[in-house]
Order: sequence, then C-alpha cells, then structure tokens
Amino acid sequence: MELRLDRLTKQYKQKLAVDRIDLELKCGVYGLLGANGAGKTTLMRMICDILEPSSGEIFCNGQNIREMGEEYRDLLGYLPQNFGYYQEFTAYKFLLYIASLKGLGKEQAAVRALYLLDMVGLADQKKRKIKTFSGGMKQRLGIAQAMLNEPKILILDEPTAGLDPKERVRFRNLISSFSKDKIVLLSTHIVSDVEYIADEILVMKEGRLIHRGAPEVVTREAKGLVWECKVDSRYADRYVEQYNVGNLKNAGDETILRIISDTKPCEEAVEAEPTLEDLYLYYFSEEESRQ
Amino acid sequence: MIRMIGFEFEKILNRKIVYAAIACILIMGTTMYVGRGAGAQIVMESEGNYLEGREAVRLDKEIAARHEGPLTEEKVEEILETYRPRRDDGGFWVVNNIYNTLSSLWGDMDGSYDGMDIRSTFPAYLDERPLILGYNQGWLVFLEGGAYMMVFMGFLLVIALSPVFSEEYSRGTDALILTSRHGKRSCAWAKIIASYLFTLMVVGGWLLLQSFLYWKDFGLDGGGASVQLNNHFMLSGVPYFLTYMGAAGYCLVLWIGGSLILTALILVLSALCRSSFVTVIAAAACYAMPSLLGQLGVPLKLLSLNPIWDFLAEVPLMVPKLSLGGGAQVSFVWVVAVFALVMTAASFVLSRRIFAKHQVM
Repeated sequence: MELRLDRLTKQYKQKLAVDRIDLELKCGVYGLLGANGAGKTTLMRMICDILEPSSGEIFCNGQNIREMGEEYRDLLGYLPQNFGYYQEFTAYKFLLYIASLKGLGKEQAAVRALYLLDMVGLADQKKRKIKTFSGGMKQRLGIAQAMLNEPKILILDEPTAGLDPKERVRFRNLISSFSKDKIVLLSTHIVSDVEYIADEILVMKEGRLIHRGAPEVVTREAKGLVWECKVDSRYADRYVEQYNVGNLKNAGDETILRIISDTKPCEEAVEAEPTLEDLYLYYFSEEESRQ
Repeated sequence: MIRMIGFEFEKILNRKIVYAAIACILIMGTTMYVGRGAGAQIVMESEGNYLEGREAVRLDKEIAARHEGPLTEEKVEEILETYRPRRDDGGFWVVNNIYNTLSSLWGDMDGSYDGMDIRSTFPAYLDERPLILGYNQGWLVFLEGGAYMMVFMGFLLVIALSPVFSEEYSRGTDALILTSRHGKRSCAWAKIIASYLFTLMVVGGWLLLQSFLYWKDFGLDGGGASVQLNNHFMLSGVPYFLTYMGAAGYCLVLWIGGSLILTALILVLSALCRSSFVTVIAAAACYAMPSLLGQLGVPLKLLSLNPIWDFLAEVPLMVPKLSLGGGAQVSFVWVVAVFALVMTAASFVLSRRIFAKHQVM
C-alpha cells in the first residue's frame, strides 16, 4: 500500500492552505503535527477526496484516487475533526448505518459493529441514543465508525480530542494493533499521542511540510535548543515573557524552567535532552499564542 | 440499497418538526372535513323545512336525479322557478344543490332566471357537446378540499425534505458519508428514493383517506355532470367537456405530479444549500412565490408547471386541450404529468451529482 501526494496545493481566496506538498506514505503510522491553520485538516480532506485540490494529484498504488472512486473509498477510513451524528440513532444503529454506506453485508456489519463497540469501550452503551453521549463517547464512536471496513488507509483528524488520559491510552493501543500493513495518518495537538506510536512524524507549518522523519530523528532537530535552568521565582515571569517556556515548576523560592531557545537564556542554563513536544513548541509557539 | 433507503427514510421521520407538520395537516384536514363533509350539509324541503347531514345529502341527490342530463335554457328556467326561495323562507343560499348551481349562474336578484343563454355564460367553452347537469356537491367538496389540503401538504414536503442533503452538510456528517464506499452514489440514490417514498406515502395516504371519506359521505353520484356547472365558481373556465369524475382523475394526476415536481425542486435545493434552514426558506419561496404570478398575466401553461398551481388544479385544467394531429386531443394535465416525471429524473441526476461533488469545508 502506497499513497503518493504530488505537488498537492489548496488555495482558498486569499489563503494558501496547502502549498505544493510532495509526500509518499507507505504502511505505518504517521503523526501529523502542526498548529491550528497549518493546513493539516485541508490536507487530510484532500487525501480523503472530499476537497478538490487547486493543483496536484494523489495516487494510491500508482492510480489517481479521483479515477479510482469507490475502489479508493473502499480502502479508506476517516475520522473528521468536527463531525456530527444522528442524535436519534443509537450507537449500534449508527454503526450499522455507516457499515451499509461502506458496503458491509448485514451480518458482517452487525458482527463488526459489536466488535468495535467493544474495542472502544461502548459495548454497554450500544442501545443508548447518541444524543445522550458525552463528547468523549462520541469521539470513541467516531473512531469505531472509521474502522468499520478495516480500512487500508486510516485518516484520523484530531482523534484524541475530548478523550481523557485513560481513553487516549486505549486509543493509542488500538491504533498500534490496527496499523499493521496499513497507512494510518493522524493529526493531533497532543504530541504524546503520536510520540509513542508514530513511525514517522510529519510537521506542517503554513501549508508546507517542514519536517518528516522518525520521532527520534525529528526530535534531534531540537538538539541544542532546549535549556533547563533554576531561577529566582521573582524573575520567573520575565523569562516567561522573553522566552518560549515549555515547562515551569516551582521549587521553594526558585523556579525550574524548561526553555526552548536558539541561544542560552542565562549563565546557569544547561542543555537538556529535547522531546517532540519541545520541537513542537519551537515551531509553533508563536502560532499557538496568536490563537 | 434497501437497508440504506430504510435508514434514510428513518432520518426523514426522526425530526419532531415533521410530526408536528403532519399533525397540523391532520388537524386542518379534520377541520375541513367537519366543516364540509356530509355532517355540514343543509337542504331545504319544499315545505320550507331544513334537513341536515346525511338526510340533506340524500334529499339533494333525489332532487338532482330529477333534473340531471343535458342542460337547456328551459331546464334552467324550470329549476329556478321550482325551487326559488321566498323571502319568508328565511334566505337565499340554503336551498338545494341543483338550484344553487343554476341560480349562481343564471339567477337574478330575487333568484329568478335572468334570461342569459347558456353558451354566452361560458364563452370559453368550445366543445360541441351540451353541458350536463347533475349532483355536484360531493365532488366540489372533494376537489376544493383536496386542493387546499395539497397546498398545505406542499409545505409539509418543504419542511420534511429540505434537510435531506443540506442537514448532512450543516451537521457535519457529510464527510463520513462522502468518504464511504457508497457515499457518493448509492447513498445519494437512497436519499432521493426515500424522499420520493415519503412524498408518495404522505400524499397518497392523504388522498386515499380523503377519497374514502368523501366517497362514504357523498358517493359517486353526479360524476357525469359537467364541471363548469357549480356554485363555487370553480373550474367554470375549463374550455372543454369535462365531467366531475374526469376532473377528479385529472386532479389526482395534478396533485401527485405537483408533489413530484416539488420534491424534485426541494431535493436539488437541498443538495445545493449548506444549511437546511436556507433550504427551507429557498424551497418555500420557490413553492409559494409562483402563486403571485397569476396576477401578472403569466401564460397558463407556464403557471401550470408550478406545483402550487397544480395543487390548486384549476389553472392546468383551463389550458385548452393540445392537438396531437388526426383529431386526437390531450389535456394539458398530461403535459404536467410528463414534466413531473422529467423533473423527477432530473432531480435524481442533479442532486446526486451536486452531493457527490460537494466540497467539505
């Protein structure tokens, strides 16, 4: 299974949302990182063939996905970022409905729906109407519907939004067990969600793909940019204003700061081992603070 | 596919507002039935007494049976003279169906024959055959009631079907559907088929119920009478020979045809508009606005292609018959029927295509 993006571009009136992205995705889990407005959702929608690119093409195993039509969609599972439900449907009926759209037979649909409800921890809630579900439950149901047809290409846009830590762990395990021989592309703001399970990290900024590689390789980009220092608590605010502070911890009269900076922030600062989150903050702290 | 149609049908019925609209239709229909059905009929006997309800209907039919057949000036004069009410009889309007029919057309101030000949009263009537007199009250109640109810039914269709596509956009379920294997094709077909099923079920169901109720109350008597003869000034402008039975058949074709045209229109708008509220407004405007065109001298043929005029039925029936060559003629109602089928087919193609090409933003 191979997905190839060839100079994929999406231009809205004034905004260039996705800018000439060339990308090859083979079987594995890809974590797509980027601030809001970086173009992640637009890119995913184009990969799902529900948003027409301004230019560029997408090929699946060498075939243009637009020409593949149903054949391509049969390979696809998609969890959109913000999506709705049929509030009057029960969780089970909702999955049966989506299964019918995905072309599963009646019995296969029932078996698969029950299996996935169990996998996402909603088996006991299958007869409850979706309107009574919490945000996290809805999100888990969304994950289940994306996996109904055992897709070869799974696109998950902010799949962990609204999930509590326990549910996020369950989700990570689910994706890990599912991802064999499949392409899984998931976008998130929560760096730890992809840090452990992604084979590759894709970093998007202002519509462009600025980094890609294994988490440890990408993280290495932040080598020499992460500092830790202990400062007098009275001056901690000054550092927060002046620098990109990734972490702040009080220790008596002093404060331990984790600073992401091209230059050493103070004499006492020592270089720290970077994490993916540091890299994320290095690239996106400005965008995040703007939002 | 059948499963998908079932789901889509359920989605249409899952909205409370649809049930509210159906309840309104039933309340209006019941009110109309109570106000116009057999229970509301009144007839005056020759002794000046009034009969009400089913007794009134029976007497009305008896009187009509005495005079039914081709209408002549002599018959008009005889009937007006026979049943003309006197002031001390308590009024002019409650007499009997036959008298009311003729006096509304040829009665003068005191209810006597005004001397006008039949042909000059119907200048548009081009047929060689004479007009036929008969009991028409049941048919008029059925045709008028049906027309009004169909106008309301049109709004029910607008409310129920506007969200079919557009609510998927506004709710955010479009992405789920359009990325599924059958989302861009079979699902769209299923939505369209479910919508037409809904239309045919509610419209067909109502028409069956109404037909049964009025048939039970009034029977089929007078079905061979000419539609031009009535005291409701309805269908008087039909320019060819048409019986009440024939008109009822045409009306059923127009009502179902109009429903199909309206459904087609709603579905295309629903596929185009990004919110069901906008679709409701747009569809309601497209449905209701043509009712204003009647005042603007728009040709009858054009008006007849609008659902609201098909529901009111009179205008399409007023269009002269179309010549097919060799002396064969066909009512314009059949043009409306063909147009409805074309619109139905077009809605299948257009709304599916628009939905499939919808861009998820």
